[in-house]
Amino acid sequence: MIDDAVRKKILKLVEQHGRTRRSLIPLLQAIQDKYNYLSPEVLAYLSEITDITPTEITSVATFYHRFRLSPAGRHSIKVCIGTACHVKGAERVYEAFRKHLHICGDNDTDSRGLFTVEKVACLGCCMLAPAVQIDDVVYGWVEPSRVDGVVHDFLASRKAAAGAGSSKGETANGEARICLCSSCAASGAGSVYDELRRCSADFDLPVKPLEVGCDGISYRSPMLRIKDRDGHIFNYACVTPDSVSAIMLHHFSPRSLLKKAAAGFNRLAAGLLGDDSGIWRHRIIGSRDVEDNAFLASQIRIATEHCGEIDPVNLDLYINNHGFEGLNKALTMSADEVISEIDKSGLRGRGGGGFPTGKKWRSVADAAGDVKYLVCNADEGDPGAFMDRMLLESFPFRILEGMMVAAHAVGAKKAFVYVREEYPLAVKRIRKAVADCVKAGYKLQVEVVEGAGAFVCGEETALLAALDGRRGTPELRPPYPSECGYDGMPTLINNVETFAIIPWIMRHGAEAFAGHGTTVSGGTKTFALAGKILRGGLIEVPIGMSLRRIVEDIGGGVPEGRRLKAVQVGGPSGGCVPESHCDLPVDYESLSATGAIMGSGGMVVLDDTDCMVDIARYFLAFTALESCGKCTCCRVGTMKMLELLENICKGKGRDGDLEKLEELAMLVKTGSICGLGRTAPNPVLSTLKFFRDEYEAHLNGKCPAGRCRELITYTITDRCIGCSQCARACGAGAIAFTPWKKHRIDQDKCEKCNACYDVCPEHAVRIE
Amino acid sequence: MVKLKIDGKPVEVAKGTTLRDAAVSVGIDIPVLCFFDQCKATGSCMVCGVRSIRDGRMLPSCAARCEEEMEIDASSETVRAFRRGVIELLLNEHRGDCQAPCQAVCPEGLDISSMLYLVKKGRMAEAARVLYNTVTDPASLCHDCRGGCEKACRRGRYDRPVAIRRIIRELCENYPVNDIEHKETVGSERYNHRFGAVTDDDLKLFMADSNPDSVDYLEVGPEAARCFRCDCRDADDCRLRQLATEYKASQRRFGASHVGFKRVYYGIIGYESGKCVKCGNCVAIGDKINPGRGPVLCDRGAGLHIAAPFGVEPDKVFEGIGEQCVKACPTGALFFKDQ
Repeated sequence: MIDDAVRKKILKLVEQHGRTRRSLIPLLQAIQDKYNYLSPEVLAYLSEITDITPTEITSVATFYHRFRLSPAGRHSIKVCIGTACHVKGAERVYEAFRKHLHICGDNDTDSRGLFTVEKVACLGCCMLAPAVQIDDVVYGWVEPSRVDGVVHDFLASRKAAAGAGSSKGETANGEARICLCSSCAASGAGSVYDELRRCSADFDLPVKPLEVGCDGISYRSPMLRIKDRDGHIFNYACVTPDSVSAIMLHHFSPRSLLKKAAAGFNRLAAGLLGDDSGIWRHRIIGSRDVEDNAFLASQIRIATEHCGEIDPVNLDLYINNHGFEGLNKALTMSADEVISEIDKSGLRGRGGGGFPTGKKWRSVADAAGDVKYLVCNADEGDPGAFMDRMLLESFPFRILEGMMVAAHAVGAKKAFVYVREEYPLAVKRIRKAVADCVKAGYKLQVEVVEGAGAFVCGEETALLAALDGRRGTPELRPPYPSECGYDGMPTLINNVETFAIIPWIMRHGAEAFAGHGTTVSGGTKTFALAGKILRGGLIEVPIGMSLRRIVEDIGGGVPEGRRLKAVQVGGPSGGCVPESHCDLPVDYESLSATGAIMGSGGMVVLDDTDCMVDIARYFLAFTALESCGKCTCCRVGTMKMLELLENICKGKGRDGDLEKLEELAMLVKTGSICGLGRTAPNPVLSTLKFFRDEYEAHLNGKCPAGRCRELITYTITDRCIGCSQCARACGAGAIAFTPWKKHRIDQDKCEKCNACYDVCPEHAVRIE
Repeated sequence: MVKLKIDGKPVEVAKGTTLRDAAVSVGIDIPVLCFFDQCKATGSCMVCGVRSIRDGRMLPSCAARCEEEMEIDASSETVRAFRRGVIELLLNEHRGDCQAPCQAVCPEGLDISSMLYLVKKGRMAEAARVLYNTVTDPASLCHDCRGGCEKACRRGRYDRPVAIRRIIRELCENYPVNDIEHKETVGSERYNHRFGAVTDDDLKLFMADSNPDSVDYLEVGPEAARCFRCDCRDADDCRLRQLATEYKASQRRFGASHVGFKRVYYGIIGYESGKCVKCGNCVAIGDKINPGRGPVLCDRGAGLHIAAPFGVEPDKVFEGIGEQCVKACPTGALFFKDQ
């Protein structure tokens, strides 16, 4: 039974969020935030005091993965198993956390009830793979050996009181710009920003620490851009908190004499310690830097215009930088003219389907009914994709402006932004932007709704069900949402990126937009470039650029002398484009021809150490978990495909398995009613098409890439110098401690955790 | 009115007609499984799938509406192969015997568990009728038989098998064949699914349903009550079984089943998730008659199942809707505890 205090708190939450079914998901989220889980008693009580029935509560609470029905630890550790993290060994990180916290069996919480370890589909920090989120702190590059350090660091950071200096708001003629989006924060931008503020306050520097939208150069983050008094821009990459004061004092001098002396002393001290040249390590010399030039040169900024320059949540700055010009222009035109303009631009939906945007708008505008709704689909669930997160975090006003143009065109008065709950910062910023717009007098009523952990809710009918407070189960179309959507009214649903492009089109005209890209589909597309690549991040390129140019020129190719094997495009709905097909232009049609899809734009580069069967298995595991279970083919078919692939990866595959896989793939593809099921077999079909030999090798008990644990053995070659690092790194005790002698791995004990391979300085560990 | 072509035949129907209704109106038969005329069709099972020739997509004909100038293929070999595939997936997800092992091994195919149930209830004449309907001369045939039924009996794995032949002898002695009115029963073709290995935990589930006593040679009634009732109560009009027979579907073509055996009681209604096809008919009936307090679809994906909502007594979930739900259930997943 629950006591009165709990009852009171729940009553209060109900007052805050409402008592109808539409408030159900926010209510459950609020309760879970408070109590860590949803207890059956609390849920029963909730149905007593609201208009929501027990069946509605139960079906929703068990459907969404966000909700827990058993108690959790005080802090939650979410290990990202997104595609990029997966190929960089996220599974081993997950195991390392469990091992470190002594969690075994079916439990997910340690015995002290302090930590709960979970897997999460994608944190959207793909360039920092493997990434881990503990409560609201994201850690990047978490190797299994770093696990205990991360846990310690987290506990220490909880203890330390947050105390950053505040700037006094005096005349500041310089700027120190830094991006604090989720992935930059994960690489330590938060502490750099705190240090910036402390430093400028302590030394009383004439500089304003400024938070800016992300420029997508994730491989350099945290990136600090100094704009000095003369307006020159200096870029510093991979900045750490201890080099901040040196950088700042190099460019600015304190306002007061006393502080000048202190700063002088500081520099002297640093100089004596031989630390003064430290800042040059981070310095990238403006636009002359070859690497960044290559990364940025072939990009065209439309959805990501002004990245790295302006504060993402400052409305005035947005307006000063051509913000809302597109909307103002649209308002002088009739709805029909706006739609024609969008039609002419050749813009196609950027969420994955690629449906012509103008056509969609037209059908909503023409649909009968006075009340119409608008939904911005920001439920970016694909592992390996983070474009929507970046756009929401860096350009919230642009998205809202796009929505306002759309609302004008189709005649909608109310709009929703459905954001994935794994993106807390994105939610915060878009909420702030909405509030600012309301204050500034923009009329469109926008409600920000958080998802609750269901990939399938990216499908439009499932998204509408979720908005309605129901299970996110897709419905058979037609009727399309454009005729019968939210509340049974015509509803326009577009992706974040689609909306972010609209203002530019309105401002520059359809022809300018169509000028980029191909004749069939105009404009640019953002991609989340990650995986085995030198320079990853968020990029925006004209549609039709070849995959090889993206990988080689922008991304700088595959590191460490490895060989490019394939590029996974489109996440769990897409496929792997092999190296031999990398010259094809990236547009909707060419990608479909290879069995991949444009999808929302995740691009994970794979090298020759990646096993294609393992990749297919990985995606099927994802879709089987995310299937809503409505259609037989998707519910059972994905499960059976996963079983077959798991067996193949374990070397238990049999003759005829590949044919069975193909047969199942066709069943799932044709026999599912929504996009999730219809595209779920793509990763398998495309790898079967291009890498069938690798499947066959697995059937013969070999994993050519040395990835599948059951099929490989670790041995130590004669290059071993007997340094015993591997023996110390081995968690299973499979390597005896024999200094100065060649080490040997006990195959019975070996857990194939790869730790010895990672630490060996002589590359003496061989995987076969 | 909407004009379309189904299997090449031109059809003209009112707007909003489903593909299946349109097909039926021109004499084309399309099988259904999850469709129940009193609930809104969701098109989830896909057994009624038909192919849209234009884009190659399969559409659930019970739910999809006719559209202008559609061309539908409802009977070709491709469509039949698709349906067979769907049925095979459903069978793969299925866990539960159509027939109890005793009946499966009986050379005469006697429905032993039904007979035992009647004996347990003291309805001896009816039990005898079940016996004589299948076995012409049980007094000698069963007496001379080596008793495969008892060897196969699942109860034997727990303590000792039900003494089936002794009960039959008792029936033969007290209810001679001439006294029993003969009635023809229509049995369906034999289509047998096996549990696979039954674990000790599963046996415990069965024990809870039956007389736990294992003392030797008591009266016939209590002895019959020791039967696990591990057969399916809906074996004769299970639509999945009929379809599987019709389409010659194989249960194991896509590998072994990944589903565990589970049996839960909600008052007078029993539910076996392993036999459930997740159509949601019972949920829809509950929503209509007992809104907010009926059974509910829980979890998602492969874990989808029916359960009682939080805050509702499990015994009350099927109150007032039990009979309709059992009728609407296309398989034997929902059944009366006492039947």
